[in-house]
Amino acid sequence: MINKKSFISYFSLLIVILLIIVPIFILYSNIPISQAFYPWSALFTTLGKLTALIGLSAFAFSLLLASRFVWLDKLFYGLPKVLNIHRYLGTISFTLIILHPIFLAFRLLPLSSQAPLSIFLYWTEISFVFGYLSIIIFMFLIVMTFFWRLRYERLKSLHSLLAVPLMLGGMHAILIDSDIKRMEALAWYYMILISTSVLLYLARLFLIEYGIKTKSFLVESVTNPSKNTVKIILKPLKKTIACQPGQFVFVSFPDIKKGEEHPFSVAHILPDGRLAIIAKILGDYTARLSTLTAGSLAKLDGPYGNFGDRANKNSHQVWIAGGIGITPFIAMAKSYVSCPTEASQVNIFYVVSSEDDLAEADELRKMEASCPNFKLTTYVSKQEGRFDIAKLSSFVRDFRTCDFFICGPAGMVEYFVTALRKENISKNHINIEAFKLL
Amino acid sequence: MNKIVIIFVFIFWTALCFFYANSLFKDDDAITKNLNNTNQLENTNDSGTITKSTLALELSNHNNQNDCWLLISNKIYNVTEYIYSHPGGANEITKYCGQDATRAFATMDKTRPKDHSNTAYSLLEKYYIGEATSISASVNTNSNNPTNSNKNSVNNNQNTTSPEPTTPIPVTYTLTTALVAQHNSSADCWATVGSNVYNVTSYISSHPGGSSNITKYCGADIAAAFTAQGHSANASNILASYKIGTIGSTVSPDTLNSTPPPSTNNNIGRGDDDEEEDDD
Repeated sequence: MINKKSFISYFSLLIVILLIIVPIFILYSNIPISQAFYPWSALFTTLGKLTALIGLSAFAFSLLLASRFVWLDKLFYGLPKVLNIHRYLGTISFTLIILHPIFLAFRLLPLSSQAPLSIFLYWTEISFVFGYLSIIIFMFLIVMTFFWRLRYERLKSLHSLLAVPLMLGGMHAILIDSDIKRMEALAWYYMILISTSVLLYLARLFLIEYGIKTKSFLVESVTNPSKNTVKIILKPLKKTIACQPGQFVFVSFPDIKKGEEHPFSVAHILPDGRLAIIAKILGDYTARLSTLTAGSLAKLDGPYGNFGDRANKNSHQVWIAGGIGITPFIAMAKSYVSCPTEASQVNIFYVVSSEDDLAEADELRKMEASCPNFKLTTYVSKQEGRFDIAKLSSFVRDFRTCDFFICGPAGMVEYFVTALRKENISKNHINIEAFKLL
Repeated sequence: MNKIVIIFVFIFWTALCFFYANSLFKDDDAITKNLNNTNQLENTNDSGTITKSTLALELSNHNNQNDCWLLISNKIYNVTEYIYSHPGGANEITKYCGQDATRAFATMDKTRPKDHSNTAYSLLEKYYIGEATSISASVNTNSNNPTNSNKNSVNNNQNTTSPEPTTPIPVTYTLTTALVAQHNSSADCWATVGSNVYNVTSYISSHPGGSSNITKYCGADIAAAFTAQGHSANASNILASYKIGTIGSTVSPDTLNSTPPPSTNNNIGRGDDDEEEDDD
């Protein structure tokens, strides 16, 4: 079943895809397509052109989607979806841009044995140099972000440098002798597209840097609900953020490090616009969260996501939380004004590796005690073994009548999605929120 | 997606290594093969040919996108096949079909003139048909009265590089090593590969390896140097198109003045269909 919101997201995706391939139509409105694929040199020239045109427009849209504006979240039904499209477009543009010079070199293969290499060696032509630099930096940054184990924040700032190869690629496309230079429509298309995406991207960096896009909160209290977790209650300085249960915000604490922001699901939406987040003490940064004191400043950007949107429907709900993935479920559970009915009963599985990670189970137990149709099952995998689909089925009688909500580490989320799909559960009944690079 | 990324990074560097390795590759076989082809060419030439009409006269007939010849620096090119591969767009070529495109090619037709790259120049050579003054239809020399061979008049002809069609004077002429040695300047450059004689004057400026690497061999034998340099099959084809005859053979001054039409050489190949119809 497609609801209105996901219809809008499919429509937006369609528009993006059409805009990406528009250059092909502009190109072949001026050139007869019949001449494009024969002979050898024409075929490879065509491939070289197409990879460049589509690679560049997909690259620009990929950056545009990374600009993380709230309206993108609305258009594509959730920031995680936006970032998924961003990843796909990024990969597509990377492969196409890599292939572009290879095709153009192959075009020259019948000419002489030296000719193909020669197109990689025009260091005296500025338009070529832009192209070389673009591809080298693109490759370097992508390989770095995918394969170099870096700290989250370093990784993110390195990844944000990808705007540089896009600009260099744009310069290359506009300066070099090509259809873009000759066809005004193409030149305008790329100039507008690339400058828009770069400007939006820079605007976002600028807005966050100067706190225009963020809202200021003060730390009210810092507590440890369990040994390995830290809970922070934030009080709005002026205006709060209107959060729905299941949504997340980007938070930065200038006292820890200015400008370094991390995504957190909102665990409690409290009266007076106060919000609470819970973090697992994992690395360097989260360890320092415990050192925050009441009155410290916090900058919040959001809200994003739609994890809780489909909850509270009239169906049997299975919520699976991995570790700190419990946070959106706490907010979702607390949003029940009255207890869930028999038909819309909630089964929540809270899976942690050790007791030290078990945060706020009491809050959920309180709800379990007062509501007969709300069941909490805590599961410590160190003692009871891995929580898998077989274990799940011992608690849930019929998967087919259930809506699944899964939040946790990427590996666990992927495991359950695959396992449930094997049980013939449709995608529409599986809602996920994974911890990934956002 | 990590896998895709690593695969394409791998493809990129593999391709680059391939292009590099390919550029080092010396295909001796190809050279031998093409030199053999030039020997076949010699047989055709031995029958003797003279100019009936020049390529320059024919030029204006090939003036559309389906049949497009260009005159660039006194040479004729059939670029029909290339039109839609042109990075600068098809229109930039088609508007010059059947015309002199020398200035347009050297300036890219821009208010701020910009020359084409070396790759573009060598790409152009692929479509070479012949000199503007070279023949497009042939008759047997023997049917004409051979006149006195006069070295000076031949040399004068050599220096004439007018793009206008010229009416040739039918003469015949015997090639000797002594004669080749006289054509030893960049303005008038002959060379031999074994017994084959080439007039490469008009190619000097187009040589990808630089003009000086040709001019130092003007009037001499280039077999060793040409092979040692590891020229491509295509280079051999280009060289073959400049052949004027063999030592001891009799040729007309017009063939000396210019390269023979590539229609006699199968390997030049591209786009000389018109020529083949005219030559029997």
